[in-house]
Amino acid sequence: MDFNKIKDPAIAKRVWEEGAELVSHCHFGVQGLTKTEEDVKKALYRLLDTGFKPIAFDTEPTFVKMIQSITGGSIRLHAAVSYPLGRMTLKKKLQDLENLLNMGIEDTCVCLDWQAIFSHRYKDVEMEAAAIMREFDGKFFKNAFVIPATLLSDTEMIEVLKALDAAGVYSVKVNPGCKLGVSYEEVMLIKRNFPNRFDIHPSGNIRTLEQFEKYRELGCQVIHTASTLDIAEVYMKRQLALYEGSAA
Amino acid sequence: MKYADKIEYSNIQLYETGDVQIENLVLKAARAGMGTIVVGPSALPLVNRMIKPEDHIKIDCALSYPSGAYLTFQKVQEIEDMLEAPEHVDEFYVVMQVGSYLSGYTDEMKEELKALVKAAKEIPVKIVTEISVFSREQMQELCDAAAESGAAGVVISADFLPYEVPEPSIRQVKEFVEAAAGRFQVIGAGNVKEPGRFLQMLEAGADTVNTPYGYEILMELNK
Repeated sequence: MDFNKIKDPAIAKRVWEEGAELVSHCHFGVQGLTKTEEDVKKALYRLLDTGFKPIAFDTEPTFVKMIQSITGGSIRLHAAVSYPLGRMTLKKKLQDLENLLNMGIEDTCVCLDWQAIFSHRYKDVEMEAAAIMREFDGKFFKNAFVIPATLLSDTEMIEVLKALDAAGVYSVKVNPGCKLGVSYEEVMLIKRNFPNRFDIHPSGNIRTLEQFEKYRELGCQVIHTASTLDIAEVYMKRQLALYEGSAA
Repeated sequence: MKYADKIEYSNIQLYETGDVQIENLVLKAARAGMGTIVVGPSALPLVNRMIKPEDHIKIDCALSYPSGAYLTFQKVQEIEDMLEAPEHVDEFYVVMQVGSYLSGYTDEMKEELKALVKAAKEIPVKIVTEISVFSREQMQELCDAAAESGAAGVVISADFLPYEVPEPSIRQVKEFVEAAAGRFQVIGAGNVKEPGRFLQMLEAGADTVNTPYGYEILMELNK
């Protein structure tokens, strides 16, 4: 959005601030096997051009130094552990959490042992999560545990969440993204069965302002969406139209 | 079964992989006479309990899968952990830093491959890459680096569909095999779901093919 074209500076300021507030609830970034430095820079500069700060910019260890050299630490970085399949050993997950801290990454999520989840070995899920919580609770801005909600029945989801609750976990990322997308029903199921127990981070397939607003209405404070800046743009246009008295 | 020795039977690509799916992978490999299975680290305790030496099934463990976007020291750490672990592994699959290499870090790619092979000591390392995004020059560069590092093989695709990386064309497989020039094994991979593509990969010169559909392909080819 070109704020210079807004005639009333007070409106321009207000719209920008509202856009910034929206983005402050989002994770935004670029990840994947064939993603290059150029891909990451493109997304990063697009973000920096807005002046907005998301909860974190999502990346992978290979690009951390490059990003830090550009941002000078002005944007919090997020990298996931054992993403997205969760098949690393617990020992390796613990090592990588330590590695992330040493790299200056302040926000993370850990993919749980999905083999244990799909096999209904919930005690193993609890033990893994508890071990991670024991060593790393409070060391990251957020450390969410990733569950493949879309691939689970309601009963399985509840059992996994019981295990996480017993392990002392309070942040859960509902789906990793990567073609596994969250639904409103999944978030509502958690809210209904575990009121005030989990800080829920919906992820995957969130592409529109309508979806973003719905998850916010459901009480989600942290939303993962690669469409963050597009959603912010739509939102600001809508707000501008509202304040200038024209149709969006 | 005919072609059974040409398949590296795998379910690392699939999301829904619990103990039952791991058990079925081993059972189907044994039934069809497939000589290699590929699993992630979390499956090792179970497959080690199931597979006995007389089964003649090699256990390949996939590390840094699927993104490979970890620093080399993290991958070395993971290999070293595996070597210290009680579970037996016959070969490692390790995903290389494809994105970094595409970003121009050629020397780092060469160093990475050497470090991985060295860390694995006597256990053979198969480097997982994505040849569909490489030029012919890049394929040649990777093959030279893989050969120099002492890698046992190169798996031509991580075959992780959610990443939406294009599958290697058969022309690309041929080009890669040519660049490899017999210096290491070429493991075909990438959306191999039926006998036609499996056979095309072999005809293009792949030594073996990694696929989660190995059992179904063998059943079809041995009707």
